[in-house]
Amino acid sequence: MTRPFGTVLIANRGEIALRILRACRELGLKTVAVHSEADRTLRHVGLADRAICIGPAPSTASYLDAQALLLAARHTGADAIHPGYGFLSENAAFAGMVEEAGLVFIGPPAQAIALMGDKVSAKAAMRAAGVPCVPGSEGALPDDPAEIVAIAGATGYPLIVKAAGGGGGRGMRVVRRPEDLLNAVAVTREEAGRAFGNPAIYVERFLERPRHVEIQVLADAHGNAVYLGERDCSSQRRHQKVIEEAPAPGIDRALIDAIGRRCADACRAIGYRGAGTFEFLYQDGEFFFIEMNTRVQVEHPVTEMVTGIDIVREQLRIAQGEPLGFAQEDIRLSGHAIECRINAEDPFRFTPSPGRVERFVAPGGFGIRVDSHLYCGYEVPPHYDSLVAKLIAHGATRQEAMARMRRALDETTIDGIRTNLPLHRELLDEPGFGSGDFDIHHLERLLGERRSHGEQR
Amino acid sequence: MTDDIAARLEMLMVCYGIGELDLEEGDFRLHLRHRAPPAEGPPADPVPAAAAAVLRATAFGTLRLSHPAGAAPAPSLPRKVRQGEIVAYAAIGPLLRPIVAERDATLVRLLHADGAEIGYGDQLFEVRWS
Repeated sequence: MTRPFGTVLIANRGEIALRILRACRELGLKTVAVHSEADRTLRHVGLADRAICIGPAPSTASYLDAQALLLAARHTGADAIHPGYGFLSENAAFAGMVEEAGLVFIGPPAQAIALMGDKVSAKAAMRAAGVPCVPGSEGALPDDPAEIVAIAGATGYPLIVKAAGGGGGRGMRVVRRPEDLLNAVAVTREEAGRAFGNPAIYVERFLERPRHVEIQVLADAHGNAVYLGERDCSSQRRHQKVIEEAPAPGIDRALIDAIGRRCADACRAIGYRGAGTFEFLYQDGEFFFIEMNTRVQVEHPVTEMVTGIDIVREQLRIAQGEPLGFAQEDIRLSGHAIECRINAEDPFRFTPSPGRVERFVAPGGFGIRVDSHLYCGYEVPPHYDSLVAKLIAHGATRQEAMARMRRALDETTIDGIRTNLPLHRELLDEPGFGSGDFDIHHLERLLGERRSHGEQR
Repeated sequence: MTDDIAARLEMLMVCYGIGELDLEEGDFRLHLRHRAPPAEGPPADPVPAAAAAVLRATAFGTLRLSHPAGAAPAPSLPRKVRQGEIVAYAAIGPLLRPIVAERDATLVRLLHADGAEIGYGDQLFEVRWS
């Protein structure tokens, strides 16, 4: 459902809540900040037209409490809810509840969230829309060894045998030679049954050194859909992105255009609406769909910086039933943008570091953007994600953006808590990152080497 | 009012954790109450008798010091309350969420006016714990 609304309830916290509030203000929309007891001092809570504490610090009793959010909307007269990212942003049931309550959910229709939230149905929908997926068995492997060998042959080697009920890196085995296949299948099946209570397994092509490249899309309720270029998010630790950039270094623009247009087509095919991101693994000139995020991403600013399009503002406009104000041909990428996620954590041990921010001095100057809810005296609570700021640098070239980012990192002061600023400073000077040609395992390898050097010392 | 509608209302009460429901249509009045006690807010931290002497809101909404269906005005202060006794309501539209005394106490002073907006955790009453 799309329709004009006047008051937006921001069902989130931290920097993204502030980001949403700013976009609402610029569109003349009123805002309601709902917050937990631990978040009374958040910046957006002070800035919102109305603020109300809806529960205690644990997210399950506040930001994840769908009933409380709907009651808060009713109480404050908000007629739309922006879920931000995380929390309930990709919860199809919540999106449905919002619509049933007669409110506007600022995001895709509940059916689209449900479709893309299930890995099997998402891949099927993407295949049907012509979006390439990682080749593999479609569904669980059969018992017949001859059939398994045939499926593996069609998938190609190296491949990975995965437990259907697995996750977090457990229940998987890489097979590089056909002669090792049946043994790996038997062992993984036995482990899967024992560890997950589900012996079903499947195979996928194993990508040795993939990059994480994602396509940002926007779709309106009138059948228009565009892609806003790509982001490279290969700098990851334990599947958490650390640095993101746009455009992806060294990838042929024609390839990006081809995959981007397929993503926009897929949006139209599944009746998608709002902002979304198609995540891919990229290796040897090929894209393989992993999943779709049906919400705004943490790293959306790098796309905004190179396209000049305010993605959150577009989310609000689309939810109000307005058509996209531009066509694919109008979208031009300008320069290069890099984002560093600043987390309240030890820079190399990664232990969380909540506490009082005694001093915060943000960087500035040409080409620098800071999205943060920090201020001097703010108390970082221990209950939530450790992201406290996003530094974004834009330049005419990648080299220029990197130079600006180095300068911005050096200018930034956050005292009172530990942050990963030192890690970012090291990464910006690291030759592999500088080359732009690194895979999703690069950062983990670097950290591993750093640890072993430390142990040797 | 049919049995079907009453059954649906009861199902909704169970589904949404509503303890009591009042419905009025003209001369018709329906009152449904669960045998099970209404869902309470999260358990309060144990408070030593000499410590922070305030009773906090366990729900957000508009503060109501008495049930809107009752004719009686809000009792005057100070007054003694027993553990589990409803001391106020947080109202949102037709929904009333009870705020109960977490232990025996004397309510000494009201910290918000009847009809004021209250948030979760707001201080409602200055109290003396019994």
